[in-house]
Amino acid sequence: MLSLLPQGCTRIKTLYQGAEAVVDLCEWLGRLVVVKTRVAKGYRVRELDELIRRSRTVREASLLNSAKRAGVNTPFVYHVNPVRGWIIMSYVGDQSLRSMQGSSLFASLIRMLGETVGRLHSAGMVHGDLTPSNVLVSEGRLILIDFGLGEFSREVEKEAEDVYTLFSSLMTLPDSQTLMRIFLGGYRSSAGVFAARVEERLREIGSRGRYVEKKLRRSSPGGNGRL
Amino acid sequence: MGERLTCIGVESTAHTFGIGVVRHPPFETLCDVRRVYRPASGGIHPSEAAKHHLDNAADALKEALSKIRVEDIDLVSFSRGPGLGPCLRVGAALARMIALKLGKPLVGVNHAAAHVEMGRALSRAVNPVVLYVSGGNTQVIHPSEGRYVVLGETEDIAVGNLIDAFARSAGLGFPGGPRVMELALKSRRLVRLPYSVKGMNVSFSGMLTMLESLVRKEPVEDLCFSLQETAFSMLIEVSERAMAMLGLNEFIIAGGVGANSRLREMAREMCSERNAVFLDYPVEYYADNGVMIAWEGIVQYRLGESLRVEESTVKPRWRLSDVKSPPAGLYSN
Repeated sequence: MLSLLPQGCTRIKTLYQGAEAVVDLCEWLGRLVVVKTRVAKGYRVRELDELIRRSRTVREASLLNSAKRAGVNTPFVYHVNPVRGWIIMSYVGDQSLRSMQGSSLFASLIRMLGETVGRLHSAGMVHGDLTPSNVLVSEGRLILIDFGLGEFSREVEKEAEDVYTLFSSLMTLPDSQTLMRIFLGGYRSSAGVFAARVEERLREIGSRGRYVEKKLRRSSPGGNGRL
Repeated sequence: MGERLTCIGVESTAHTFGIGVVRHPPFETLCDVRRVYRPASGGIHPSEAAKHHLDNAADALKEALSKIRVEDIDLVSFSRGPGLGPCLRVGAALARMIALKLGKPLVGVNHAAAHVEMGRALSRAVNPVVLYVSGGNTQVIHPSEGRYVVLGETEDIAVGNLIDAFARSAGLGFPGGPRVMELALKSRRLVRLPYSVKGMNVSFSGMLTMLESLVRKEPVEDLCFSLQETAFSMLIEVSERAMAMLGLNEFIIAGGVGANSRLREMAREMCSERNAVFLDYPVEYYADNGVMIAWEGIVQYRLGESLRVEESTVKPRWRLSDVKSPPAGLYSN
């Protein structure tokens, strides 16, 4: 399904079609731009649908800008239309960090990502969906995209979740343990004193669920021990 | 697929005491007896519900056996968990008794898996995303190769719990679902409530707190309408996200809250917008019942599961992720 585009935009191709938004590569005022459209959902009553799309569009645009101020590279926001759910932003290429897996540069990029995420967190923001597909590589710099699930937050839990999400997607790689260490090295260098709290929470998240199960099993073998 | 099997299943996880008998292949329901506990006031009291089940067990079994031939039974299954311990033990005791008496294998099944497999069997879905919503559970599940992957779930209370707890504070009685659905039809006015979606997880406790604070300040119809629209939008949104992520185009709902027609209407709408299909089935099978336990008994027995009576303790906290899931071909009759 093709989404409605802002006036003056010519669609070149659709880059991504998710559950919530469509991302199109377009030409606008003579330049290449990316248009992210939060599409209306027919299953929600209109009032609620508009409320949700409006607040998420505004929040995402605002995060993109604030992250930039904190020294994290993000696309430039050119135009926001909260009613239509549009964000027009600069096109920063389509080479993702994921596509760099296996390259000799990958480890150094992961270190750089650690520094970047540390800066983002220090400035009171979390990304919400930190995967190698949401990190673009352009001219040796990393650019974070898709802040759709991000928020302004200083909660250690949310910061640790960011890192946990990234680590889960690194897990399939052969040298995942080394990469995680490298990431944390970069993270510590920019997150400063907060890094230790996040790392501690990270270990706790990893053991959740399993710990409770183990404890139950130990105290009562075979279910709860009663017939 | 294996030989033809007839299984008698006993359900007793919460408020429903049910006995069902299923034969397969082809899938055939031979009997469906249900006795539902209705608390005089408040919500489910575990030991009172267990007493209700105990008082009704003999009578329900008698009714079930009047509809089938005892000699036809090949298997006995029961809901082993997750659920309320005192309630689970009543069903387990009855199932053990039947199995010992008839000398047939005993299978302990997971209540959540039974809901999912019942939904798959009746809807004929091949590879669906499943939204499992009831009084105690809210999960987005993908039955994958050999296991159930829980993609998202509630971070606090279940959606059915939200509805029941709100209904109680508004004086609508238990269970709240039917009354809330009926009253919601009388309103079109949306009261703003917290909409809390985090990735593929949801959270309802903030919404409940706010609803309780509004109970005598806003018309109850408006609150019912707003609760349904907000909570169900959250559920459909995370389900759609799961479908998009996995690239799947079949969607089913399982569990008691699936009996709500507004939720199913939203599911249909979401699917039609993304060229997917919402596969519905008769509404009486969304709620807890013995038939799904009997069917899951057959499914698990074919996967090699059975229990000795001595090891058939109930598991009130049994996670779905620890259960084996069957291959999709099992349903082609």
